[in-house]
Parts: sequence; structure tokens; C-alpha cells
Amino acid sequence: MVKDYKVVFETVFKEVSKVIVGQEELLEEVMIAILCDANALLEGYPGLAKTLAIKTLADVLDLKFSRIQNTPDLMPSDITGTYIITEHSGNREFRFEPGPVFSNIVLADEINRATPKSQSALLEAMQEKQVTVGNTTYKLDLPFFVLATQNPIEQEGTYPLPEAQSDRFLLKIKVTYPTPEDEIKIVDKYTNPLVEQRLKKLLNKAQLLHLQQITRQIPIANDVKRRVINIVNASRTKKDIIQYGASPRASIGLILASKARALIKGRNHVSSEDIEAMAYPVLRHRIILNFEAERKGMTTDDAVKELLKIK
Amino acid sequence: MKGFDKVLKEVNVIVDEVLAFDIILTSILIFLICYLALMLFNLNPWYALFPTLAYLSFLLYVDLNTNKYRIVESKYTPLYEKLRTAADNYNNENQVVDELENEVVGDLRNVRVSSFVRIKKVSYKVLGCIILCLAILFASIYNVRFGDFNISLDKVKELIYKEGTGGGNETGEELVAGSGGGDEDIYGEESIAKIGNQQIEIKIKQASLEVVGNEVYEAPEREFEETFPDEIFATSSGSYEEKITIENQKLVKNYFEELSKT
Repeated sequence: MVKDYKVVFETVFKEVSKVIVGQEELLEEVMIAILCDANALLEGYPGLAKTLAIKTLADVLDLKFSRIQNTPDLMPSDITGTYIITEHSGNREFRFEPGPVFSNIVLADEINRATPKSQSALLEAMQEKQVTVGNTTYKLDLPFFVLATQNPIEQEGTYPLPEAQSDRFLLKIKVTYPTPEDEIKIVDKYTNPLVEQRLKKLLNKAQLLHLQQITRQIPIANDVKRRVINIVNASRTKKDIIQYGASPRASIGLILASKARALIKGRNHVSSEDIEAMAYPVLRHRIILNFEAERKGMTTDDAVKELLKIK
Repeated sequence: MKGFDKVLKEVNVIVDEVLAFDIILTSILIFLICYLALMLFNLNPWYALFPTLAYLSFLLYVDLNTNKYRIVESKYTPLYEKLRTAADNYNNENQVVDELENEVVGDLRNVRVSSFVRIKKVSYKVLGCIILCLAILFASIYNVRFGDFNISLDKVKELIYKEGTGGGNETGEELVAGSGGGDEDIYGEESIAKIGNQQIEIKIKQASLEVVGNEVYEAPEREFEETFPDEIFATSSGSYEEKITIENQKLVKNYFEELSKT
């Protein structure tokens, strides 16, 4: 049964690859976030097809997609929606006009350009899957994911995400440059006469919700679970390189993400390999290096690599 | 999956049996090595039971704390992490766990019990046991000993005992420790002849030469038997004569005659 799901995911990725060349890791990790019913933060330079990849995936999964371009003047009501006065049969009344957050996949582009006030407007939606406007709380349509992007350069005029908010993203996905071979394919694809790609809708909301349930059913061995706890605990005690370690949310996230990866790989159990692969996107935004480590030029990925030495 | 707990129990029993066999064999080997060593150094060979029991308890402790499923997984790589996961989650009932359990049961059929027994290692151990048994037999028959450690051990014990009881003990044995001064002085050195911090005061009485008249008796008559050791035997005078030449006999005779005249 689980092996059949592997075929499903392979088909989905193959369909997305009609539009997106390469970026297999990005697509896999976004799918993991979706299976975990969680949010992901994408970090990469401009022009790496982040937005296109998410939009294509949303199309293939038959999900409602919306995009918020974050700017410093973005207001929370621009995200959540607002009440507008409408005239109906001569009567004027307030009607709630839902914002772009009322979708299944919300792409918050360049989230670090929005003010903290607007950033926090997404918090409730991300965590509670609901939006409160005025005195009314609106439930969001499930499945719901926020995929936010941020640019590692051009830090002027940006508002870095507060720790509390970045912790709410299950994964921080690093979007890397394509390989030269992939870049040739990209160039060919977009410089030759355009061929309209009709994407098949391979999954639907109900199937996606079912897959989320299956993800949580993937069993994990006690010693693998203990290793996850040891790794996360070590991030709090390894004071020689790490100033602030990861919270228990990281332990939950690492196990859940590993379960999703096991499902995508068609495995009916979580293996150490899943833990090692998912430790980077789960932990890299949850640990803060100390001055000494930064002085040595270490990155959070180097710190995670150190933590993974724990067996 | 129903009955998966029985599968796990069976796996545990089989692995335990295999491990127990290996542990017992190794313990026998250790016992024989120690037995032979103690015997060769003339010590009580039954002391070999102590290291054997210590080793046995250590191995049993290690065995009890070993994850048996890991051992099985190491014998059949497709089972890697699967068996452990299935064992840890057999109480959870869902389709994924059921599927995993079915898969594990299928994989376990491919695991042979013989794969747990390292034939080469076991053969070496059995061979070692046989050689050691033979060595013990020969050492007993031909009384092969590399040294009398039993005596040495007694000496060591004696020394330890003496040093352990030194200082303030009133036993007379302490004097022995202080009397190692040599033959020239029977009391040893003054500094040694002490009990605790007290110097021994010794007075030697002069030998009395006075004779009490009432207590003078006739010397008792004693009969002495002529008992000689077996090595000493008598020979007849004739035999001497036979051995002395007539010339010499005459010479001696003349000598004594001349001597009597003077």
C-alpha cells in the first residue's frame, strides 16, 4: 500500500517537472510540508522559480492558490480580508470580503519585506487555520499551507521574521541554483517557441487530507525517536557553537517531516536516513549560532551537521 | 496484525538460545584456561570458577541489554530498522503498521537460524576446549608445574598478615618480625625488639654451679644397644688380612717389636 503512494508522488513530481526543470529537492520538501499539514519558508535568490514551482504544484494538487507580494505598506487587512459596504435591494450592509489568505496554498512572497504587524496577521492563519476579523472568526478551507519566501540578499528595508514566527514554519527550504545541465534545459524551454503545458490534476483535497492522515500513521522505532530527541537536546546544550537551541516543536517537526519523507519514498517506517535528511530544513532556522561560530564562518547547516554526529 | 507478538517472542527465544550457547561455550573456554593456568602454578584450580562466573555474569548483563532485533536485522539487511519499528509499534493498530508487520513476517522467513551461529568461531572455541582439556590431562598425569606458587602465596599471605597486624598487637608473632637480625645476636637489633613503643626488658640469670648434697645420686646404669644404621656393616678380620700383603704385615710387626724393645 505505502509503495503505491510512492508511485503517486513520483507521478505528481513528473507532472510538475513538465513546467519546472530540476528543483527536485524543493518540490519534495514542499510536498513534505503539505503532508505534515505545516508551513514552509523558502529561501533563495530571485529567479529560481520558487513561485512558479509552488503554483504548478498547487495546480497539480487541485488546490486554490493565492499569492501575497509583501511590501512595507502591506496592511493586515490586505492579507485577511476586510468588511466592505455593499448595497443590496436598496439596503446597505457590511459584507466580509475574504483576503488572499482564504486559499489552500498561500504564497507569501518576500515575507521579510512586510512589517511585523502584517507578518503576524499570518500567524493565526498558520497556526490555528482560522482568521479573526473584527469579532468574527472564519475557519479556513483545509488543507491550508503558507509557503513564504525570503531573499537572503538585499536586507535593507526588511523586517527579519521574529523567532516566534519563524519557529512556526516546519521547514526552511533552501532553494539552490540549478545545475548547468538543468540550466540548459531551462533556457531551451523558455527561449524556444512556447508550448502550452496542460497539467493534469492528479490529486484532490480529499486525497491530500487522507495522505496527511497516512503520514501520521507511519511508525517510528523507539531508538530512532530517541535519536531525534538527543539531536534537538544537543542543540540546546552545545554552547560552544549554538547560542539558542531548538524548541520541542523542532522534535515534533523532525519526526513528522521524517514520516512524510518515508511516505514519499514508499517506506512504511521512518529510518535514520529520513531523520538525517530532514534535520537540515527542520533545524536550520531554529538554532542561532553564537558569535564564536559566526566568526569562524560557520552556518547553521554546519551546526546541524555537527549535531547529526550524535547517534 | 494478530499474532505478531508471538512472532516477536519467537525471535527473542531463538536469539536468546543462540546467544546462550555462545556465552556458555566462551565461559567453558575461560574456565579451562584459568583452570590450566592455576594448575600449572600449583594453585587451587577450582579458583577458576571465580573469573568464569564473573565473565558469565558480565556477558549475561550485556546480553540482557542487547537489542535482539538489531542482531536479527544485521543478518538480513532488508529487515534493517523494520523489525525494530514493528516491534516498538505492534500495539498500534493501523493499516501502515499492519503492512509493516506483514512485511517483517515475510522477511523473517528468509532469516536462517544457522546465520546466527558463526561456524568458524564456534569451531575454534570447541577446538580450544578440546586442546585445553587434553593439556589439563597431560599436565595432571606428568605432574607438570611451572613453580610452587602455593608456597609463595603462603609467604605473601604471611607477610601481608604480619604487616596488617603490626603496631600495638600483643601477639608473640611480632617478635618473629623483629628477630631477623642474623646469627650473631639472638635478640636482634635493639630497635626491632620492641612491642609497640615499649622496649623489651630482658634479664639473663647466671647459670648456677652450686650442688645440693641431698640431691646427689649414683649415676644410673644404662645399657647401650649396638644398633647401627643399615649402611654400616661389619667385615671379618680375615678379610683385612687377605687384603694386606704379607710384606707389609711383617713390616708392621717388626716396627711394633722394635718399638716395644725401646
